[in-house]
Amino acid sequence: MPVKSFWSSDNKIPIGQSSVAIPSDNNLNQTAGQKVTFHIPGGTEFINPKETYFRCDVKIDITSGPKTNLQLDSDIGAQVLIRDITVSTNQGVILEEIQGYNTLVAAMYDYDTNDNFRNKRALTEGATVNNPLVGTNGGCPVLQKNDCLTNPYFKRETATTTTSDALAFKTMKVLLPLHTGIFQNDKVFPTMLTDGLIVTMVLAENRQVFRQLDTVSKYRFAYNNPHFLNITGADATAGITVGDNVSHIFVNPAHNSMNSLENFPFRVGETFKLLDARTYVVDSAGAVTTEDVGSASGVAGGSFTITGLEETVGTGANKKVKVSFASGSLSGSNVDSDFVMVSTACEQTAPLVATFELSNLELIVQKLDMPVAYKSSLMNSMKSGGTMVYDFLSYSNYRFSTLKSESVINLRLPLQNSRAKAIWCIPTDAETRSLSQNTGAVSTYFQCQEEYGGTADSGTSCYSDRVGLEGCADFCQNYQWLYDNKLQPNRKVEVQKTCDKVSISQQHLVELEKALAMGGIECRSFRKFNRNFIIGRALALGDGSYDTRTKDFSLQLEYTGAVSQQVNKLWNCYVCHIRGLQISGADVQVLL
Amino acid sequence: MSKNYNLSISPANHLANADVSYRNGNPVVRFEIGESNRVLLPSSLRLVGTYHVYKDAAKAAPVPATNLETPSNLGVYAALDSLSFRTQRSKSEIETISGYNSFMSTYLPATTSLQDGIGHLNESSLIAPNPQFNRETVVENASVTTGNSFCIPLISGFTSSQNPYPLYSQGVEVTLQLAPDSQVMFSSGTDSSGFVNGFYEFKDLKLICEVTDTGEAPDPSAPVTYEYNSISTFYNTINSTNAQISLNLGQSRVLGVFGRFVPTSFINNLTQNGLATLYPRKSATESADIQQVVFTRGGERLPLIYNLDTLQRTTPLDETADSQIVRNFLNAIVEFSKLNRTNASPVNTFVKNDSTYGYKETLQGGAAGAGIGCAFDVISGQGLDFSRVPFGIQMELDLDKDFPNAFYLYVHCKQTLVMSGDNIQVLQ
Repeated sequence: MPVKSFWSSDNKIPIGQSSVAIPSDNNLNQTAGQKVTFHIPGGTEFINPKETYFRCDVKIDITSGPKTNLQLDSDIGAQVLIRDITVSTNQGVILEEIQGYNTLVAAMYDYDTNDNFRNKRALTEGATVNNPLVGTNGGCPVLQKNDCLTNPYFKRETATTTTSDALAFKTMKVLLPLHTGIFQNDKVFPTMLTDGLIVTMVLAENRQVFRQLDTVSKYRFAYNNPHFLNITGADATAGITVGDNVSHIFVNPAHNSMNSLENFPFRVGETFKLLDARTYVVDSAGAVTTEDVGSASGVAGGSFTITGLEETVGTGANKKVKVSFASGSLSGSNVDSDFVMVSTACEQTAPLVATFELSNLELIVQKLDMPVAYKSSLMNSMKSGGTMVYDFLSYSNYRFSTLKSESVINLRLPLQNSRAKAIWCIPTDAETRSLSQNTGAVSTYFQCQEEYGGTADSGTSCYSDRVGLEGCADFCQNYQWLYDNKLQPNRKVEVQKTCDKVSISQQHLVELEKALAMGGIECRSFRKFNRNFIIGRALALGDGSYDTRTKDFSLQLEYTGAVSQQVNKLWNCYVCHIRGLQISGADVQVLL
Repeated sequence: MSKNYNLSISPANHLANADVSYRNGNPVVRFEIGESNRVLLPSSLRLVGTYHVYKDAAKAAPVPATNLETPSNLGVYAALDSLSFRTQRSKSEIETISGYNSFMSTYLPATTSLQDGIGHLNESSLIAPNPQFNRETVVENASVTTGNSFCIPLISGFTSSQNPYPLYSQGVEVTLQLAPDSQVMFSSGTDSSGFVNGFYEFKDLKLICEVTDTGEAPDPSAPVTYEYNSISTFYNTINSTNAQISLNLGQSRVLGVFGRFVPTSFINNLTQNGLATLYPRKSATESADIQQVVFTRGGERLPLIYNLDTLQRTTPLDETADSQIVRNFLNAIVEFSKLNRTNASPVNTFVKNDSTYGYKETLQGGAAGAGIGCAFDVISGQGLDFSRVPFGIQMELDLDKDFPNAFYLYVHCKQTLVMSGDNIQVLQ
């Protein structure tokens, strides 16, 4: 319980520390797809890279289309906004570049996580955590996207009755540690020897970054959505039948903490239908085979549009939420207490158009005042022809595209890293998904669902809303590496159980844990083993490394099961490797 | 060959097995670890006993209708107002942490996890992350004679440093000052009439520790030096929209500073939790949002060479805690990138104006990450010299009502203990 670093004393050379805020080069607000550049001046001399972070204000907006609450990715927060990152010297020497930075961070954060890390990321990086005050009892995993009380991207509803369809987005200040080799290194970085550093980030596209709350989605754990109670306002449940005239419904307060307006995840202006969560059936490939939906007749698309929300006891004694909409008759299916509200905001003909804007962009840099003797000794050594070598663990992304029609795949990877530690291959969904589809997980890659009594429980079905960020298991049967002219391991690694979404293939997880550990990730969680599927291989153990140059390096995959692949893929193959900087005078060489 | 012994020491100023309570005039408990040819392992020190909460002078157990709560995030630590270590013979001060419960209310939630709270801390220290759970298991424990058994480490620099203490130089005196009942107990609502004469009590108090007999003849005159980090506590009040705090810390190796706010009217108040960790308030139910913070050393900005402007500066109604305030606060306690255990989360660390007594409804008796602070040294452990220059905090906030807020500032600093024969000196 006593934290050792707090109470125990260290005896090291005293080093002065101060933090400076460096504004972005153009000092302007930035939007999707734009480039952000920071110039850390050489005058900072020495910096503590691990205490350097990117700070900005993020504001989400819906510019057209239906109303709904949106947030950024719940696991990686505003890290999702950075697509690519480059760190270079003032002379333009690229020290490291990571393409698909947000995909890399998603892998890191999905596997190196627990409640403490999620909370820290939520407090500072714009991630969100499960809020027990709006806790759900639908029998699904703990949701990280259920928070409508303390959500950093939109205000909680404080009124007990509202007819306003105004959006409630607000500004979130995020502090993002940069997960590059240099900025996650424990060693002091000598900016004076590289004449400073230039950090360039390319921002992600709008369609990749937004998420709806899981508690409104038909495609993600529908059991956790608001349940239909009745239309009378009584405390007991009562169904309605097709043809009944309805202008409002009451939400069951006994389910999923939907007993007050501030806990209620829908907005005025949002469109919805009623889905029978009990009869909803999704097959293992993600096709919806049965769905009973209660909808509005005489309305294009059949969605109800919320015109008012009220917290009331109705004609009963318990507080409940009344959802009002334009009067009309019910069509589709009869509705009873098994039905849940599902948002159709992302399925409208008029598409959802959402944007984000970053403002007050700064790089907070911790500057170190090294002792004078150390500095002069270093400079004297450099002047007399000395060379400084600075090693750090970095990541190179080798990308490879595959088609869903292929059943046996050979991924040939032209690796060029002399000190490789591990490789992580992340097969991301490369289908073209619109902003609406990705935001609402509308018919995207199907990840998994729970089973109850041996039968798939589709109320817990989960489609991906992180297209391009997480790996798709997608019915892969086995894999094997070929390098050093040898098949490694010498037997195929079976992944069929994981990838067919029925169980866990354990050898794959052992391989993955080794690879993540060698890549600098402490595996604290395997919760996403099938939702962010990664094929990993440790190329060395301990402090060792492996020279991948001039080696024929390939990954052989078999998709030969009963069900074929469902999505085309972009394989992000991150080689975790030691990268060296050789600094000599004004010359900086990068040793791959 | 060395040999370890376990000691069990009864209070020196009370009869063995005595009932000890603030209310009955026994606010001080003193233990003496006598001089011997052994060395003390300070990290093994534990305070052991049973903890009882009563709703009246007749020692009746509280019931739900009593509305009696104790700080669930502190457990037994809520009752310890100060902790002091002195040498037994010369009474020289080794380390004193005043406002110990107040400090722990900031330190513990920031450095322990939810799993710690529902696991070993619940078993050993009677900490319960959920206030209702705390009420039902500790406060309303119907077995008033058995009470709640506990065994807590006395967390401090002296006990957490790994250096053995030479009892052959001098023994150690451990003194605990108990907190007033009105600071430990509070109403879960606004009505405290059910426990106006309530109090807490300790029974069977003991200090247990481990000592080592090295098997060698000790030399009491040989100088002993060891270093550890400790805490100095400062108290201030703020009651304006522009709070200027300037302090002479008198410490030459300051590693960081951090502090918590609580309205002065909440302190020693049976209807409010005086040990809550809150952001400033301008009434019992309204927050006084921090808009800007600047830390200074000798009038110059340091260590943050920029103004820390919060979300609430531009959006006064924003309820989300400012991420830079939170990060710097936690970073002052444990380097943020290495903070692997914390209770701080958006659920309990946010700025919210609520109805009557909203802060008690959130987890952790307030907020786990609320406070301000900054680290001066996260690398070398040598700290920054504030022995001759003042430390300052300039803060703009929305405190536009007459509602004083107490600000407890904890200075995390390095200390050196030098012992030579009968002489002992603490270098700060």
